[in-house]
Amino acid sequence: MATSSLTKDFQEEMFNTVFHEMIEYLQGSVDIEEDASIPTATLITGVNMPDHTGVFRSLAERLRAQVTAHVAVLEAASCATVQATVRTMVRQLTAAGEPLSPDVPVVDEDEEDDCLLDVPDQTSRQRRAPATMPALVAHYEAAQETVASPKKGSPRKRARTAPQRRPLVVVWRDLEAFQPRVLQDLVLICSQYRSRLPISFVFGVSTCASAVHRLLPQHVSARLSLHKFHSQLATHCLAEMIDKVLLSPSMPFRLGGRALRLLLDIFLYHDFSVNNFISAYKFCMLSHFLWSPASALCCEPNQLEERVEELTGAQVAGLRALPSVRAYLDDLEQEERHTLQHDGVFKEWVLHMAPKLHSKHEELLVGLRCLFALTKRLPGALLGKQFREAYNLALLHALPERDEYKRTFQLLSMLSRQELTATLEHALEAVSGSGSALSTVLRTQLDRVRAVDDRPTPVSAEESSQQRRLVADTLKQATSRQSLRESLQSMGAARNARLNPYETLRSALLAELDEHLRGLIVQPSKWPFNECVVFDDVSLVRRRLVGAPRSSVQTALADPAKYLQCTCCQLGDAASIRPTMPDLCIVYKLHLECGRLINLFDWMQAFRAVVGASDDDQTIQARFAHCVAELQFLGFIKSTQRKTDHVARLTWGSC
Amino acid sequence: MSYGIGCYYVLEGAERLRDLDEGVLSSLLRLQELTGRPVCLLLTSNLVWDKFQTPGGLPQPLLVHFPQYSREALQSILALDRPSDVDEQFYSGYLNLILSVFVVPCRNVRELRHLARASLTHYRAPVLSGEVAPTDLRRLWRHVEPHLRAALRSVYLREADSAQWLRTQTQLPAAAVQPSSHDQPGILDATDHQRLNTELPFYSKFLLIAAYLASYNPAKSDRRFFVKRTGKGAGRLKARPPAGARVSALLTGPRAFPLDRLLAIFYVIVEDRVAPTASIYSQVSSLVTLRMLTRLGGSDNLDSAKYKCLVNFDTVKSIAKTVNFEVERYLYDFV
Repeated sequence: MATSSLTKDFQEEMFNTVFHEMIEYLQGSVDIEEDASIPTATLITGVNMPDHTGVFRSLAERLRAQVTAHVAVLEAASCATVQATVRTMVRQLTAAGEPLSPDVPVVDEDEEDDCLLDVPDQTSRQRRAPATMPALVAHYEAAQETVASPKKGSPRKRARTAPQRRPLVVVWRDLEAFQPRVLQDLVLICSQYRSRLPISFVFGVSTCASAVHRLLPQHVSARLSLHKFHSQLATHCLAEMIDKVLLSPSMPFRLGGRALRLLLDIFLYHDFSVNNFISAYKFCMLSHFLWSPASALCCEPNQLEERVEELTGAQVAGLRALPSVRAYLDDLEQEERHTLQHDGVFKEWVLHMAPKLHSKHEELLVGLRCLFALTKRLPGALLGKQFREAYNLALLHALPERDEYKRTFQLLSMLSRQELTATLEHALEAVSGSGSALSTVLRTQLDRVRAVDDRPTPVSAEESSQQRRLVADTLKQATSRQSLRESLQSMGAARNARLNPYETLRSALLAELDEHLRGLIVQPSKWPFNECVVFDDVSLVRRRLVGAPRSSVQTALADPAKYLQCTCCQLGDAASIRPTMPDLCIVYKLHLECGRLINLFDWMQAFRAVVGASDDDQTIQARFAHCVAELQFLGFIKSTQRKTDHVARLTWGSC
Repeated sequence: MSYGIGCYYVLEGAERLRDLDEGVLSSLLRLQELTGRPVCLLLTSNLVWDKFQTPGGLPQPLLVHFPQYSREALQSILALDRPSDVDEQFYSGYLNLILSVFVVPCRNVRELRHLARASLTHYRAPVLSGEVAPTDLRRLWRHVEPHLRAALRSVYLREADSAQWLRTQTQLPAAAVQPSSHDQPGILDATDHQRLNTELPFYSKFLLIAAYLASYNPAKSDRRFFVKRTGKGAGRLKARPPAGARVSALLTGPRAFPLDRLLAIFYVIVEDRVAPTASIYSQVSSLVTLRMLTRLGGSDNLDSAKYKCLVNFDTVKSIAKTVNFEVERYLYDFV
């Protein structure tokens, strides 16, 4: 499907601007004539660490393509000491453009003593110069000479294409994870070589810019000239990804409300990783196609016809049994339902209804975008601050029945003319790209609002004299203060009820808008055949996406048949013990019945009784000791000094 | 008169030599004697010679004390940096100005040179455009004063060289008029907010708060803060020493706590029910990688993993505010 191409395009675009600026900075970094200070680009990436691998890989590729061939990427895991760091760095910088044969193990001279390679033939090892800074200087100057003296071309052409010195870029992937001492020493070493080697740094910082100052003392950070580059916030990236991939019109697969909420919760509550979100989305798609028989119809519109042709009788029966289809058929008349019993007619009806799913989703999106644009300018974010929250709400509930919807229209009916104009312009902008009927409606409404007059209507002379007579009459008739107050209030209300032309127009417009939006915003679970394209079976995927190690271990020990899928260990109720269960499960269940301190001998006797062995079977003790050791390793018991031959229980409750 | 010295070795940061093997420093100090060659060793360091002494004793070198520069010395050193197209008188007036502003917080020659170079273009701008005469010091001072004040706020940070710094200074007034940094995250924020705050996932914030509470509360007070009470005084605390005699935990620093205690506090302070999934544990590891927690006891000891919280109170307070959690109510020192 087009998912992988969509996601790949998206990932490329995500960091485009930031990389562009950074590459410009690094290209110019050779020319900076500061007093031996290293130009450093600090890229503040954010805490979503699973995404960093991809980011830095694409950064390294772009650097190699556009800036220089001498690029080294350093990771904290492989740089524990200064020596290892220098070695890694120099090896990567000198390996630019040199293909090494992968079969021959390459060993540096200074590494020979501590290398553990078991190469039988000593002579087959390739020797290289030791990876130190002077070697790097020599290599770089040699590389510059070969590049700077091309053999052919006229002298003028040679002078025109004479290359500048290429910078050497060292990328520190996860700065906070490095040992501070290693980092400081490397910065001091590189700053001393700056006159001969134009080294630049790129720091990948996860938290905030002050992390650099926390790791480096002042006399070290004075040798760097720092430039900050902020990458986009993870929530921003997620919003764009949802827009471009999940809501894209070319994607026939849609997520249901609960599934989307699960994925968003994982993103917002656990890690801010867009890559994990994409993997979870792909997993949902996989589950949908694997487990749901109706997913045969989830495809591009042009393939729909042949899919419907190929439907077997069993599949048609399955489609008929879908809840949304059943609800729709119940609403039909008796004869229509009768005709649809026939398979051929049913298939035609499917072919008629299935393409509507896509158009209905587009309508839903248009209506939702309009509504979201209307609510964004109102106080108190009624539909959330981001479009994805509004979308999730529309998927989970019938939005027009909700309080948020009613409140929105209440607030809209209180806006002044300028505010209403601005709001309508905003909404028009949001839906103008889709070319639907809603945009024409909004445009006409906007024109009418701009043209209307919102001054209060002037009171004519007749009406005012009539009013005065009315007031005089009421005063004469008033018997008490109470009745006078009531009659004056009712007269005032009658006067105020006569609205100015703007207000009448406003209420008319809002009623029209409400009607249109109600028609567009229909909850997806109401569409017939929506189970073909919408995946909402959260329980299937939740266990796979969010790992719960402790409950898995406890389930495995208490109810082994669930994982082993054997027939001999089927349990009637949860607390029973069968002798056919594995030893560890028996020992575990027995320990659940004990108090805080467990007597080992009694435990072993109980084990012996359950297993049903005779008293002089020697292997029982060995098996039991093995199980007790495993339980201790798993963390359920621990040895205690309080009583001899006892162990202490570490977990509570029974399962 | 020449001493016949053929070769001079200058070692900077000589205090690092003390960390190496003991024999290294004493051999280096006797280099001429051991090699029999005419060589001379010069060691530079921030520390006094007494700090270098070892139990075995070291041969006494010739000690030279290099005093700090006086203000006149700083002025004459900085005057060497004058670019060729600037008048000497003008430049010395400019240096006078720079020194009067910056010499109190900063006497480091490198920093002063950097600051002088960074602010020169801004100072010269009105002269070059012809608005102000080169001798009108008052107007020049008024023009450059806000720029210098902004530079004073980040004196040692070296966060931007001249080009980016100028760009942020010109963007400042524009950003103050329309605060639209929400829509354009690429723009450098000249205020301190983006420098100090990081955006963490929801549960990570609570884990960090729980770690802070575990580090700065004694273990015995957990029962009082985190166990829901029905009002019966079942666990009465013994009388605590008065607040003056108690040493505030904020002064002594964070204490180590086991992982179980962290998770127990976490499950209490998060309002909704959280399942103990693998993601929670991996978030703890992420916090360690980000250097907000630190793990004690090495990574091979899986049973009893102890952690310590490295974040200070202000950061935790601002994070707690974003999730509507009152940290002071749960801290032993504030109650």
